[in-house]
Amino acid sequence: MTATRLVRSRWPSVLRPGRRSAGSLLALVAGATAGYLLVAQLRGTESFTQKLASDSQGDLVQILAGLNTEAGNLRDEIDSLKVQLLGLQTSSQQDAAAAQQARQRLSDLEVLAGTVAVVGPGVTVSVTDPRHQVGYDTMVSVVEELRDAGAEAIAVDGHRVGAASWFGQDGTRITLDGAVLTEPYRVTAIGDAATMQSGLQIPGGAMDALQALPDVTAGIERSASLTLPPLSHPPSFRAAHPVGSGP
Amino acid sequence: MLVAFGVLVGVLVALLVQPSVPQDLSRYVAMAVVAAIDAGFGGVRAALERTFNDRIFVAAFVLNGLLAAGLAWLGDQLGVDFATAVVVVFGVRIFQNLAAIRRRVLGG
Amino acid sequence: MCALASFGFVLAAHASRAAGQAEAPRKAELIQLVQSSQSNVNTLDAAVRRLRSELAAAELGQARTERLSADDARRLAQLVDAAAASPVAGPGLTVTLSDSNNVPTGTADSSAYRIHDQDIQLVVNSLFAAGADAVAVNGQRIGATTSIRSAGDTVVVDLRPLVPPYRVDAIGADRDVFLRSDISRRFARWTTEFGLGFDVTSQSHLNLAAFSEPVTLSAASPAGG
Repeated sequence: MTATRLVRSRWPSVLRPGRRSAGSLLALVAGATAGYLLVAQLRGTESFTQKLASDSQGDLVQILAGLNTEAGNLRDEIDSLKVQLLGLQTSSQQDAAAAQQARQRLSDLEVLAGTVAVVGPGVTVSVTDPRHQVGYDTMVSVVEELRDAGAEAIAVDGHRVGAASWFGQDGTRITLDGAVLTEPYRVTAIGDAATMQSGLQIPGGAMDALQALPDVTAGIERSASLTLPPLSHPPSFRAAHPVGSGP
Repeated sequence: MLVAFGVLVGVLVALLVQPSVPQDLSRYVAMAVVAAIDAGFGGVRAALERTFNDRIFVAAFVLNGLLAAGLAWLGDQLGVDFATAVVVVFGVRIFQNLAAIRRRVLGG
Repeated sequence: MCALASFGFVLAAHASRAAGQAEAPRKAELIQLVQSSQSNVNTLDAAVRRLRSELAAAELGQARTERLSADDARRLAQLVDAAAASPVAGPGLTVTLSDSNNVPTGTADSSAYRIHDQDIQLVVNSLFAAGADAVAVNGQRIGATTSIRSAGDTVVVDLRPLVPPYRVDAIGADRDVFLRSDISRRFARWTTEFGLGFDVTSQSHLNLAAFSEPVTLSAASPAGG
């Protein structure tokens, strides 16, 4: 009797044998998970705060403005989607606004998918590079900058750039989706010409990066109407399958 | 209390392992954490009011967390905004529990 | 109970430490605004994704009731898939990039110890080159108009800042082909030289969301239509 009493008083009540039941284990695990997730979540927030803290005030203002624009865009999109849904759900005859938006959505999907030829105003960036100084990574940068400046469709040397397109390097030659691009390069982009031109021409931007390379000249010119071809190989999934969202 | 001990263990393990929540899941994890905090304060209040029940506390702790995160996720799939509701409900409960605790502790 | 109290202390200490890291009160304010704005955008984004998937379902349903040919319905679904406007799943790779933990203080070239937008751009490019059908960065699906840029040190995809570490998921990317890519080999050097994080893991099942960025095409339209 004395022995057990001693044993009992030495162990903290939490670890006393005999209290190990499924309920206790669950309590322990639940607590541990909560503590673990709390720290993980705080680390995420801290890592974000640290990242933001190393930006300048100007950068932070730019990020904030971008997020506010994004919130506005998302709200507009929500409105538009609700109108379309209402049009589809309430009657078999879509009302005019919903029908118009549905048509717009279909045509936007075709442009984004790269399955059709596209036309519109935009810019052409011409790059002469006799000594093959421009690498595939510079091309990736140029395309990203154009997209950042609002390019809705892009092509290089008559080859359309799609969502899954990639640039490669074959010796001194640049390839786009496996097709070899020939110098001089012509990058055509449809979108707001003024925004794209000023976007590329900011100090330290794509134009600067291109012209800094030896013997490379780069020029950008606006056009009222450009036509871009569709993707030569329409996108097809080999490993991915759509997650069923249909009825 | 086993749960509190578990929390300490979890915190220590996490400080060692240094995990981070993927950006796109952080909404759900944040809600589960808020729900767990609510359960924690509920437990403190119950202890002060001498109505503490081990089983209820653990159940609340686990279920609240799962419910909060689960409802938010479900809402995203179904087309209902549960996330705002979750935040409001748990926020209100936390305030109520804190007020009750304050009354108990400060006798106000 | 003591644990909960110490909890509270940990949280408070953490919050004040985080606030102290900002250099000026104005900057701390901006950081908080960015974080709450980000949270708001995430909520709105979830709503857009829900509505888009409801709309896709409704469109398919209507195609059936109006007895459009099975061909048309299939073509619409394929178009949605090709535009990255539908959620997809499948096996592939996850590439995780993270800043170095051992940044030398006060040196001018600390930029080599951070992940830049161009690093992520090239990783995405090489994943597509390795056969990826669909790629997402921190859950954001890459579409035809998606840009990966930066504002200061923060990497921004379209208009949304990313929280490091950067997780690039790619369905259908071949691991060996990717590891042989230029950027992969550069990172293999940079991990030892600068301590940057570069982890490539095969995944048997990845779930990528649809491209949810609201895009209003105002300049481009199908030619001949």
